[in-house]
Amino acid sequence: MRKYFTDQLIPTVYALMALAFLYTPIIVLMVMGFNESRYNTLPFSFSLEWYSALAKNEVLINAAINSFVLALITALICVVLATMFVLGMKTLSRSMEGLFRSLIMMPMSIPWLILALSMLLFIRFLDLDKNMFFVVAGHVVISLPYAMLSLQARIQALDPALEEMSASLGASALSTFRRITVPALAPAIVAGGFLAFMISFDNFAISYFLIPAGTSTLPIEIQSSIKFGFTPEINAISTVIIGVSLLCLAIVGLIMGSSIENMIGGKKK
Amino acid sequence: MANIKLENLTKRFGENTVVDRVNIEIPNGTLVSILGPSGCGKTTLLRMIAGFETPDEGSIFFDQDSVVNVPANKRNIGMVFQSYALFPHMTVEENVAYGLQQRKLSKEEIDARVKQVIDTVHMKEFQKRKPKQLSGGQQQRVALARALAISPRLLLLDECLSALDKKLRVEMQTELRKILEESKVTTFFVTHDQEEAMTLSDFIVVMNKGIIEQMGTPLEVYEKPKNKFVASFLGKANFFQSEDGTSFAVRPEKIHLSAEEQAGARQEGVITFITYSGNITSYTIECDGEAVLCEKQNVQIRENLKKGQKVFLRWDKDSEIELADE
Repeated sequence: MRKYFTDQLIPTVYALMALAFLYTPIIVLMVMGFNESRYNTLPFSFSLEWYSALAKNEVLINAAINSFVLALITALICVVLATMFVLGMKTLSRSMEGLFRSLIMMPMSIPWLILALSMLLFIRFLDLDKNMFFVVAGHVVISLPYAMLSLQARIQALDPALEEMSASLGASALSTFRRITVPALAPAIVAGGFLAFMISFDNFAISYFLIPAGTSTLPIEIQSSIKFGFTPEINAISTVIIGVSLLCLAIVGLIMGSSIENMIGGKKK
Repeated sequence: MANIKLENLTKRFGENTVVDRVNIEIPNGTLVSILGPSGCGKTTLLRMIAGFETPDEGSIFFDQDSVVNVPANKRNIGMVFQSYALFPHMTVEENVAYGLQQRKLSKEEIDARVKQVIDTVHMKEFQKRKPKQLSGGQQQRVALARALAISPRLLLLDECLSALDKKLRVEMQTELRKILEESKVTTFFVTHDQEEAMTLSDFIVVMNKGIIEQMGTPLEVYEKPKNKFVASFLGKANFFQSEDGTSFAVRPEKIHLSAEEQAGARQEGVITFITYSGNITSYTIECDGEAVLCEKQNVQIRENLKKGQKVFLRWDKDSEIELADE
């Protein structure tokens, strides 16, 4: 009995508590989006009011579209750069590779706030106006390390003999890249793209410091609405975003199937 | 298919000369094993022939053509690696077709050739599978089929049986030999397994520390090894000094043992260890502080020799292998 208590019950309760801590706020947020109350208060009475308000709220929708496009562009640039970097770094000497890797990974360990500030000061220093180009550049800097992490893990598990084999069978370097290297890296490219997308999509600091006046992103809008009065439209749009992310994840899971499984779970024999 | 000639082939990595002035000439259709301990340069040699490493000196000829400056993808060489390196995202068929597709053949030609090669290695029922769904032996066959599909001038096998378990390896050796004899392709087979080299090859090249120690048929290198290294790397050997100071070797199976003193006995000693392994029994005999190994075919069950017993050793003069001075 005592053994059951210490070995089974306590760990289970502990795990459930941790999960509750993670998911309860999200569930509350989603539920309150369907509540009539303006101030997220009980009693609960079901309403789609905030969803219809959201549909008419152009500021919020435009901000969401901006965030989506920005994250998409950032993710695309990141996967192309990250793929080029990891392949290029293979040809460097060990110490050069280490140096290069550290330089790319560094933004992970510098607070985004500091990075954003330095970029803003740099733009001022160059006497330029804030524009979307800098916002994208800033987002690429902070998202790239995540795309790199995913690709590096994959490329290290990649058997270098595959590319040699392809060459010995008569394939040109380009053909080998297209038919062997890219398919082998594909799961990592997709996963890296997703990570970069997520990092960019919810980034606040970089966007806030660098974005030109009159434009905004979803995190910036949410932040300002908290300041100036918060309506459950925010709950509604958050719920939509969570839904879309889950849908994307499911689709990718279906397409990539076992390759994602392999990547996350490592190489199982 | 081609005659292959390596001339003074040399490769250095920094201060290390890993392949040192290697000369080999092999006629069309032969199977040559390159045998040596790890680090002897055999894999580097193979990689130079394949075009993955550039030699620092020397030439490689396929028939009359020097290929040193030909890139790997233009050499038309079939390769099988120890890891097989099957393309994981392609089915068996697609793996085998890959090399043919690079050659811009028509779809009909490719399909016909793929079918033919897959039949040769008996993998017809698995052709739609991915490599992950195959056993080690099956993957091995696919790797071989893929290398043979392109009708290579030369086939390079790099420790390609080492990953299989013993029983399967022996089966594959026989099958490999059959397939290679049918396809008549000149083959280099790199291995550190002397038994495998003996079973498979027409010629054996014994390498050590970047140089060729000896080259010859399996019979020649086993019966007439030139030096101590070859004698001990290929099979087992006992080493003795003759009265004039030269050294010679005697294979364990060529030593006769008897409990009674007889004419012509060369050594006498005490049995210190007996190992019975079914077909043979091995005796370790201590003679003047030197351990001598002797192996007997168990034609009859012999139990007359016991541990601690004094025995007399005899061998024919022909069984003495003279060794070059080291």
